[in-house]
Amino acid sequence: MPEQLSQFSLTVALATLTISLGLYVLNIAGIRLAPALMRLSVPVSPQLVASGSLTTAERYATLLATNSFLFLSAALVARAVASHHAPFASMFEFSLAFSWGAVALFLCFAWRYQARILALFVLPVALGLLVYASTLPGDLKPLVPALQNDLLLSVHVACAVIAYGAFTVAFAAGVLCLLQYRDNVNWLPPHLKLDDIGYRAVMVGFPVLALTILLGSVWAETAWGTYWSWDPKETASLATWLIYGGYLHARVMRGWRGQRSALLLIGGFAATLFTYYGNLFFGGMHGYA
Amino acid sequence: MTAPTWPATVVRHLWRGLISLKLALAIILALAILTVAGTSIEQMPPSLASNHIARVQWLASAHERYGPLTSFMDRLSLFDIFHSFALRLLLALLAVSLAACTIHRWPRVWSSVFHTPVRPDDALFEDSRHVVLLTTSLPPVATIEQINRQFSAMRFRVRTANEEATAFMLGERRRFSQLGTLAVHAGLLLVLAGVLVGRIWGFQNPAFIISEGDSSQLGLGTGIAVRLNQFSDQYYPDGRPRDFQSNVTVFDNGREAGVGTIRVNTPLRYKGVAFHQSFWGESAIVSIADPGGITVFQGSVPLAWHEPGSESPLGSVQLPGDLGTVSVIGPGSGTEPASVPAGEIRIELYRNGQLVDAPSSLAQGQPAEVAGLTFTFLRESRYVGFKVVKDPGMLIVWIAAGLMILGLVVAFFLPPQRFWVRCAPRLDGITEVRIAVQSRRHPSLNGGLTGISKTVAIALGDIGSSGDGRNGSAHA
Ligand code: HEM
Repeated sequence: MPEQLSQFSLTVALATLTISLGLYVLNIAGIRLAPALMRLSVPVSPQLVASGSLTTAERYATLLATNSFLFLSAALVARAVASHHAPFASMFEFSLAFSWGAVALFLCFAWRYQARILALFVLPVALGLLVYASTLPGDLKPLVPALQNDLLLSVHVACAVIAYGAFTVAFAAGVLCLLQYRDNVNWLPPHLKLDDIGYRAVMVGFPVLALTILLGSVWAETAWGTYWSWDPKETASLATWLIYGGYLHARVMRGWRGQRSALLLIGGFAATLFTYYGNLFFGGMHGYA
Repeated sequence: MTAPTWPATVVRHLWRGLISLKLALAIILALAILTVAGTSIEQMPPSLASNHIARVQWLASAHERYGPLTSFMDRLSLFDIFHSFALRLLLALLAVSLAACTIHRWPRVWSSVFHTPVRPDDALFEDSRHVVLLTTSLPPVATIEQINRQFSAMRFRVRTANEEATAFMLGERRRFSQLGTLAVHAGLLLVLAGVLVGRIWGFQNPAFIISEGDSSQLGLGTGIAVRLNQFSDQYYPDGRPRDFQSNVTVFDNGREAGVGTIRVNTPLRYKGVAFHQSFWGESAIVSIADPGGITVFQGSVPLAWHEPGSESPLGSVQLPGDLGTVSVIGPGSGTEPASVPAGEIRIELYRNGQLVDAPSSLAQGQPAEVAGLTFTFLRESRYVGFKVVKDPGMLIVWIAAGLMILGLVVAFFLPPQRFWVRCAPRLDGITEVRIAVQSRRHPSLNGGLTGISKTVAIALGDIGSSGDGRNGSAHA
């Protein structure tokens, strides 16, 4: 029964997220087209023209994104109830969790900094993860002994999910910042604001990823005997962390603020995806059963 | 003024290079590239480093993937990046650079925490992005007193100063948060130090093997011996492993020190040495007698190894004198034609590296004679391989990493707040109040300046707020 519930929630989340993204895109198309339409003397609501204010489309889009967040949460909880462990034990579950993290941090940042425009690049990532998850076997499996250290493992992976979510937001801010670096795009906030949002997302992700790695190393010591063994997944997450460390320094250097540090945000996100997909390429001790 | 001598110049340039952000960025990104390479290129298992033949075999298999590039890549240590000279060099450089940065910044941060001047550079009050301008009819000193009260109520630490007719004030909150970034870098340096401590004073035995009922000396200068009293395993109904347990007794210099159970994820720790259950398998209890009928060996032989390319487990015994070396081979799981029947073992006797004789196989309890020696396979048993690690640096690493994370949280989420106020009289008798904030970190948010200045404006009954004053740059 919880399995059906989780399947159902996943489907609903996928559908609402798709529509939400569609509405965000439509909204921007509306803002971009508005001046042209007015020139053709088509009646356009003045609300649409002012890109700062919240339009009806945007309001519904955010509502739907919140909705899909709730359904994703329900899917994860249902799986946890059914399997008696935190839902992080397979690529299916972790994809779901990653998607959840991306949507969760998007909602936080959209609300805190009035930057719903981030949806343009966060939601496709979240959607991609859900679509990918739906191609994977989602059956529940008991845990192998090494994964039975429940609390530590759960916190470790929960931190990873939050860090990945924050890096997805930073990635979106980075891409938008690159699009906007001449401040000539009328449907985007000024590039300084986007730069600031990217920085703030890294401020969340960077310490949390450090904690993820630290907890992972504590766990590795009890499970495998050494706190660091250059296992591919831990190495990849260290590389990711280093790239964001580079970003933090680049951002306070002359000439690196803005475009070049935004490129590092994109590079960091590529490393994040590599870390997440990693075990498909390189096996190692994180190879899920 | 004499020109500095050239060694002093070199040292100064070196120091500037070491503390430069450019070098930090270069080191960090180089490390990132190296670690990404280490996950993209398949790395040699560490056990191969000391085994030349296995290494050559491994490289041959790598050749299928990388072709003629293989030997070039091998020379660049690309198959062993994590033990390469390049990685060590970068880590050393990182450590030196971190130390230099910390030493360089310490005095500045210290004096910034404790001795920030109440009167800053005038330029600070001119940067329109971080300054709010208010006006009031109160005289400067009374104005500062009024503002002081406001700040003190908000739990700011306030200091004031007067210079001719102009009054200054500095309000600070969370001064100590400036130590956050310092803690990040010092913590990271300490992590590296902890790794080094483990390298120097720690040891590792990845395969400390004991058969059930036997005891084994750990060696490595510890005087510790371990007896495996019992091993047990449990499985899920579908055959997947569920749990494994080893019950052991630890001896310290011959004296029994205690009994414990080692499970998956629950190592046994004794005097800083951790015993982790790592692998397990069958062992064979055999008895070997010489031609005179005297027993030269009796005990279990853990079948913990494999011949390259074979699935049959293998163990060996060194016999006393020149009697030779015995290989004991158990039934393999595979389908090889030469495999030993289930429940039996095969014996191979070697002298001077030459195979002397090998009977087909031995069933339990049936003695067989090989080159004058009598071999009896008494029964099957099991062994456990423990990974034994002593790492006195581990605790340092974890505490330092914790410190670093704490430093990050403080630096990012509890930023110090610092406002300077200057009240200067104008010719028309009006007092100009400038409130400046130092916020390098968040350019678009001004570190709470807007909120603070509103509070102050209300308290002063700001008379210029609707006109020219609001945005600081207005006086120009
Ligand atoms: C992997 C290594 C390193 C990490 C993780 C790291 C981390 C950080 C962090 C988190 C910040 C704060 C950035 C911000 O406030 O936005 C920072 C700033 C800084 N780091 Fe590093 N750092 C590393 C290596 C270095 C090295 C080797 C140097 C020395 C050259 C260095 C010099 C600095 C300086 C000068 C700042 C600016 C301080 C400030 O803003 O007050 N860092 N670092």
